[in-house]
Amino acid sequence: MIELKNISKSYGDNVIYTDFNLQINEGETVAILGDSGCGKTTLLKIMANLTDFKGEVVGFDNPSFVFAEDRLLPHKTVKENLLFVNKEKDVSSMLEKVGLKEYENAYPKELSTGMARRVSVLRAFCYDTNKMLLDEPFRNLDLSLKYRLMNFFLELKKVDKKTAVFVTHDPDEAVFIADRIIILEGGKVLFDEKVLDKENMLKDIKKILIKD
Amino acid sequence: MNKKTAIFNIVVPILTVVVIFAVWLISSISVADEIILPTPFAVFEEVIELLKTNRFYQAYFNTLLRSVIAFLVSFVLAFIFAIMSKFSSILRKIIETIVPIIRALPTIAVVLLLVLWVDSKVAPVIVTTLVVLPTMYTTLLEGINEVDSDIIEMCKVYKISKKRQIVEVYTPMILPTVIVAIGTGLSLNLKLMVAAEVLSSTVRSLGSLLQESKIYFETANMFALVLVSVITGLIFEISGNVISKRLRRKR
Repeated sequence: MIELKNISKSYGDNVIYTDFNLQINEGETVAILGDSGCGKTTLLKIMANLTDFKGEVVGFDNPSFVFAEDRLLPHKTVKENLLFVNKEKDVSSMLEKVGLKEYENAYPKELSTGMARRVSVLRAFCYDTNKMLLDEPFRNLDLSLKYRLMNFFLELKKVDKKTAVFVTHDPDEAVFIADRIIILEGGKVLFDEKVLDKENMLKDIKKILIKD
Repeated sequence: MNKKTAIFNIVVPILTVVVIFAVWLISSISVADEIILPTPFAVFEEVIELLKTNRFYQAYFNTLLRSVIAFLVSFVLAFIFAIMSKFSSILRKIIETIVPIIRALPTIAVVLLLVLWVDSKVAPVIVTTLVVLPTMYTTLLEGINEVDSDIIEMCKVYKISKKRQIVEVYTPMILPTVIVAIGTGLSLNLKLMVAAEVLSSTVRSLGSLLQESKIYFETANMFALVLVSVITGLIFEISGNVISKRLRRKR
């Protein structure tokens, strides 16, 4: 069990969280939704220990992170970018599985947007951990590429059962990928449900998000 | 490269050099005194004469070697200082107190003092190192600070050690900037080295050849030596730019 205990965080006078608590089950894929500025990315940064905060994150050491941008090293090839986070990993076979084997010696500049995104997601899977954070990983992608990448993520996750927490603005994306959906508002949990019936869940969360 | 860029990059610099030589030629003809201002042709002849003598090669390579040594010392020190500044705020404060002092040192005074303290072959090396060091430090630190903070955050997430960050992230990412700085640094170095050699009366150096030409009013010879220095400096600078551009293109 992963626990966020009494988390408080503010940027100057802007209070984001006060005594925020959350529990996440091992192996779960949790989607975090909410309006811009509600603290979604801050929550990921707290979990990754990338920002100062008060409180405690228990059982979430050493996560990998798929950032909103690819953040690949421009001077390293695809293969070298993956080996950068884990020298032991058999990256060639991973690249083969995702159809990028022939690009293993290509530089990030030579990749299409979708390929670079795939490498960025793959890098998070290469890292030796069973915890993963994703910050709007499918943002600014066209629909077909977005669904291809989401399927790619689900396939990888099937093999490598990591606990994943991902932030998104897109309810369709959340329902497609997550086992559980959390909506944040004003630093508090407004909605927290397991995804059992995808269609109804989508209607429910859209209602809340559109504030109808 | 399209036609317009080709014209811009090749024809314009060539025309500029032609204009400089034309102005020089016209001026030297109107002055009509080889001691005051020799013609470009007289200088070219002198360069050819220089290239036939062993004395010139000995002086040229001595000066070049001293420049490269001075440059390497200043580059390594600047790199160490820049890395220390990046990762330690106390060291940054100390270094940023020392560097402006080094920058403000009057070059000529330093040469004159060094001549008293050390060998005349070593003095120009120390002076050149001291003059180039602050510029190199600033350039390298700027390069390091320009490395994308997002990439550094990624390194933090994936627990990449500081040592690996320096070797695998900072160094390759600042390499294009560093190579340009090496080119311009070597060029600046050579210029300073010759000046310091004149002041230190360093034997078997371009500086001493210049000093001799001045004493004997061999102005064409002085111009020839200057021309050789300028061409060498330009080769350094252009090479740096070309290599850096290639590196950037690859990425």
